[in-house]
Amino acid sequence: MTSTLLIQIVLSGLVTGLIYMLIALGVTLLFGIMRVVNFVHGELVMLSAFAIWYIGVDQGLPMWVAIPAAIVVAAGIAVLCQKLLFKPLQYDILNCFIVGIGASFAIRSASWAIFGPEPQAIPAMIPGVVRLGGVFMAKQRLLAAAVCVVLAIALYVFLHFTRPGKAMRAVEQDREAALLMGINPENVYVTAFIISAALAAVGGAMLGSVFGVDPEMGSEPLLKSFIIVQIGGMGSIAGTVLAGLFIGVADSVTGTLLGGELAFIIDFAILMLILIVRPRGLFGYDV
Amino acid sequence: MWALAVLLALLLGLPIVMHNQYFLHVMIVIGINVIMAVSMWLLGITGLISFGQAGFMFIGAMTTALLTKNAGWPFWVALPLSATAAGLVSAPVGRLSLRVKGVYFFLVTLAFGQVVAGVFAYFENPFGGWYGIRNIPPPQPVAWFGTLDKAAFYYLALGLVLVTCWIIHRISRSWFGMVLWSIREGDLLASSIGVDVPGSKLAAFIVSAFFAGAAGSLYATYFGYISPLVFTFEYSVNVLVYIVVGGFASMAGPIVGAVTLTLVPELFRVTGKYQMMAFGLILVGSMLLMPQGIVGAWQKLVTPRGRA
Repeated sequence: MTSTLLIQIVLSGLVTGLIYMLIALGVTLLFGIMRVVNFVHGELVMLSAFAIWYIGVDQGLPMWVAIPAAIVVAAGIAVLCQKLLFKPLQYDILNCFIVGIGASFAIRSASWAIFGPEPQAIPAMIPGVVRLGGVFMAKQRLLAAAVCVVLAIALYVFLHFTRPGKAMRAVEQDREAALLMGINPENVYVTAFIISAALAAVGGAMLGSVFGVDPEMGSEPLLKSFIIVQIGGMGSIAGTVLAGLFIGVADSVTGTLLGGELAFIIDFAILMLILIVRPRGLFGYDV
Repeated sequence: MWALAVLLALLLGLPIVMHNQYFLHVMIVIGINVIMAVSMWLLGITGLISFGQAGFMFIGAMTTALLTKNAGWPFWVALPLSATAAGLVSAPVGRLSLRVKGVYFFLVTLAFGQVVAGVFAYFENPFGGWYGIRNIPPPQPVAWFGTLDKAAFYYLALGLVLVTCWIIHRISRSWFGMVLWSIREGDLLASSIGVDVPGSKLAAFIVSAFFAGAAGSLYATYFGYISPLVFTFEYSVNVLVYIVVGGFASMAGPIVGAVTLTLVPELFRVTGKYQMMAFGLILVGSMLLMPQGIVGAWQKLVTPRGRA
């Protein structure tokens, strides 16, 4: 194997890893703040990709209309889930997980009925290919990578340097104390759901433009982001970023050399190894 | 007690009065689902759900398929070996996955189920890949277990269901069962009164995988065909729905849930994606509206007011 091929595989793995990381950031944000594992997250990715396809391709409107519209759709569904499913269960972690699975199944099979099984494509926002030395990279993938990096940094800045972000971290550290300081946790939860849904929507846009759109497209990224979040440590942004990149590259290398099913088995082996050495993940804390 | 005896007599006499083969087929499917639901419920006592239960079922089914078809062993030898194989695999998996609690455990077992399907799908040579394995032989004597007369299969399924339910019922009422119920109230609380929490959870996990393997073995020999598309995460969730709808509080819950939720979709001919939609909505609805399940709601109904 030549070294250019290896670089090619690693680079495309990094791009996939960044998209997975973006989706996993939404999962880890909700878990960190309210101890909810949102199983509907994958369906948010799928639905926003379909929203972009419907508005941007089927109706022919420009992409700068389609993507914000998809974010609004995803945020609306996420807040609906929060108010109708998670709040009545008092954010109990196990019950919310199970209810999330139910909602996700219902949404996924409804999408099968509505959109049909044929995969759709979102055209590249910037067509063309860049050539760096012997390595080729579609411009769309570079755009996806850039968007993911920018959003991850934006999330960090938001959580550390803005008032609502600080309120979020306050609720994460101690819900009661934050309540005493005049922070309304319920409002913080709504904000967290909206941000997480927006991350899912952008992830859906990137995933859809690189790999295509179909009703099952949300389930694999969700499973991957669960593994990423567990390796990195639930609720830890830095851990999610690192683990996302790592899993992306590992998947790309094993997937190209040995086949897709084996990539997932390798992921699981890594997860098991982490569980032996450090059960709470690289940067996680006990629950 | 009398009600149980009457029910048992009815179940035993069913194939004599009922010659509708389709109906017997539905009863056999119900039997497989009941074994799965009861096995998942045993671990559920501690508050843990194994989302990889379909994976253990797959291991059992695969063991039976390989032993009876490739090695030519009789089913009656393959059945206990298949259950044991699932139990053996579950020991290291449980040892590692039980290091984490609650929802982390859900996620690890979920991933494990996918890995089992992935391994069987990846290695085409003994495991048949995505195409699965066809023509798995029926039990001996083959003349009884034909495809046209399902009475023998019905009695096989009934026998397995009765043995499974009896053993798991005895376990849940034993000292060990009480230990499992105490873990449900809180890991720390249970360990403070001297309960070996990790060891008890692991034992429950292994027993639960053992019976899932037996259910898989029955599935393989009855349907004669297994593939990674059968033993999916979706199937594990279906089994969970049986328990949630039936109710967690007693073993009647998973049984009632499995029977109704296998029967109702059959009656209304709901299949494929629509069944998945129905199960998703049923899961959400019963979690929100009927947290005690059918059995809990029934007991509330028959218990006079003021006496809890």
